[in-house]
Amino acid sequence: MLIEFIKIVNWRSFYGSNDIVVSKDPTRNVTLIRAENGVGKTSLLAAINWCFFNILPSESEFEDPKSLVNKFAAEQDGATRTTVEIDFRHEGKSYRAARAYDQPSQATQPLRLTELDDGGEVPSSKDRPDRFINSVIPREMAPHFFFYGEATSRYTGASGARKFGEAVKGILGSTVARMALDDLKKTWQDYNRSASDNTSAEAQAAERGIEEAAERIARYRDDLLKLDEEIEAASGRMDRLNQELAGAKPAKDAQARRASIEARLAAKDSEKSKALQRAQTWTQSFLTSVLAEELVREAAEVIKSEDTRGKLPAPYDQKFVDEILEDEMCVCGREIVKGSAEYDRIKKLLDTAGDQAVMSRVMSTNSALGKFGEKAAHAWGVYERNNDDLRTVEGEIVRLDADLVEISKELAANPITDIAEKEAARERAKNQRNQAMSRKVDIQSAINGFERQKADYESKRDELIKKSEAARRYVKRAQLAAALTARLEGRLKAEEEGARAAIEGEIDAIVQKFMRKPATVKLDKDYQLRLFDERGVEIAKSTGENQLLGLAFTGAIAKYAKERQEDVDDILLPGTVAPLVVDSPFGHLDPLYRRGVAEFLPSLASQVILLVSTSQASDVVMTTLADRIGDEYVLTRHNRGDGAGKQAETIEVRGESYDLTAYGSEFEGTRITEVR
Amino acid sequence: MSGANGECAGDALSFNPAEMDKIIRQIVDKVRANYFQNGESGRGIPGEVKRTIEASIDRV
Repeated sequence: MLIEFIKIVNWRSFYGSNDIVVSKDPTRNVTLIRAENGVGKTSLLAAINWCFFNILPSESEFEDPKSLVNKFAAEQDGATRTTVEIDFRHEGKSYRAARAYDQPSQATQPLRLTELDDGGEVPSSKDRPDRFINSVIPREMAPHFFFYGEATSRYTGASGARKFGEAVKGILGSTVARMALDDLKKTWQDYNRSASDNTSAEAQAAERGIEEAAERIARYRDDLLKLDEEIEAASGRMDRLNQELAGAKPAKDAQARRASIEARLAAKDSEKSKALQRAQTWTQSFLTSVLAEELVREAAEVIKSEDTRGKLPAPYDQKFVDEILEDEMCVCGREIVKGSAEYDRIKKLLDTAGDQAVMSRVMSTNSALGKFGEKAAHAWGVYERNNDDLRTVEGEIVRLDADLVEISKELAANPITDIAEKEAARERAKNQRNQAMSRKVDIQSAINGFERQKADYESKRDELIKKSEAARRYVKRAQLAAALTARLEGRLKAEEEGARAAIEGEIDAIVQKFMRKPATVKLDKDYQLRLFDERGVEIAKSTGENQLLGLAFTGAIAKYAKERQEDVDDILLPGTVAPLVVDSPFGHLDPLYRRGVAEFLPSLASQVILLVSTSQASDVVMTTLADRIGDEYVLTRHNRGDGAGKQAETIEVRGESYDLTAYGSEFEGTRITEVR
Repeated sequence: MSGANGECAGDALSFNPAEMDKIIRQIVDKVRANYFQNGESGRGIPGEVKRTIEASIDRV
């Protein structure tokens, strides 16, 4: 899909009818829309999502979502409806998607889809437009094409990893296969139930136990997801308050100290995990040799005490010695008469001579025991060192935590109320986050308990139904359902792994090219996006780096979806070409990273619509984008009042001046102006 | 029966992988049709899945 044209009529802050022609030029594939804060960038992004999918942003980002018609138009012109129309091309045909909203009844009209022929609408054969749109851009992929750029900086931690994971699965089009998997599991469960019903009351009880445990596990897993959301929300609040405190002059110094201590604390936490890991590895590496220490000592004593002195050493040539005795003649020419002292001595040597195989076993056992002994001797030194490391890092963590508490007290006691209030709010958010994290540990432990209980019931049921003749028919079907489930799961996992590796490679290439410090990206199997330095040590990411990585991720999945558009697969949906519409992509980025994003985004997606403020459209961004911009627009906020002395805001683009804010207009609202 | 590959202790059955892939394809096709008809929020179709398994049980 490529968007050709957008028309919005009386939508939110936009007054009247406003048009945007979107660039379809493959080399100049960027449409740049510039506006200051509160003028309509987010509303415009929302209009696209709403028209196609009837999705509006959450209330925290989109206040009063039931009031969609422009207020001035409603009050002055009596407007009751707002409409959004989007013309797009897909597989050689042009279409118009349109959605309307009736303010008095607060009713959203269903999506209307028509084919366009020479610009005119012709009746469409698509009887369910929403289904058609879903096949062009699957709903699951949409949030990765139309999104708020600064939100990508929040893609950290468990919930961030979940979003990355969902995005990869979404872009793979695995929803249908996952739904099939759910149905297969239900079928499997159903056959199991029938098998138990046809066995005995005991088997039925075990089946009920399995189902109850499974239900509890599912409920607890839901709770875990909610806790992840709580943690994410609390972390978001902390980030915002951190930024606000850092921006307030009297708190700036304390906040900078806190940021520095928190960065050190994160590094120490990582050191602590490594020290704990070494302690666990110690058990695997040394436990056997330490436990066997006494046994080894005793065995070595036994081997040592075995008298080898005066014995013919192995290997020796028995045939040769036997011939000496038989011939009664030594190699030196002396006679060895049978019954003589020499003859008896050689005979005795032969009797006590070591057998080659036995001797070789004794030697290798001795050597193995020696290694065991050495390892045991070395073990306690390593153990002490590990413990010392752990104690040292824990001590440092305690000290850093105490420093953080002091900074928090200092800010809470700040005479400026606003700062003290912000600090108190930050502490509340931190406590909420910590409590949620601690509840997560408890819930995970409960889940583990129910998993064990479920496994016990399953093994009991399986034992019982195995003996039942009446259950045989269902057992075979349950086995097939289970085998199909495992096979489909395996295939999905392999597909996801392929996607994950491809996306990781793409992000890594971006990082290699654009990131300030030398780093390697790893998108691990849990979709945690991590950065590592040249020595392979994980490095903490700043907010700006997180945003850069988030945008690189989005660009990478857009590219992956484009590459998969022709894929014919029996379990996955094919990929899609879709425009990337990004609101505020440059928010947290410094000039170097802005240049990077301005360079890589247009090269990864087929069509890009960027919504930026004047400060984001900096010189470096504009210079980098210069050859990629096909169309450019300015959003102007019109005010009827005279601004009470406020300066009108304007912007110079290619020698022409455009209003960003205008006073004394005939209406209130935003208008879109094309930059010529 | 509770094993990852559907084995029941002491009574393991092995199924033909090619035949299993055919059944998976049939099931995914039916689920896909249901998805495009009713969207993601539509109810599942375990009954259809069961019918597909019943029809294939003697083949695998």
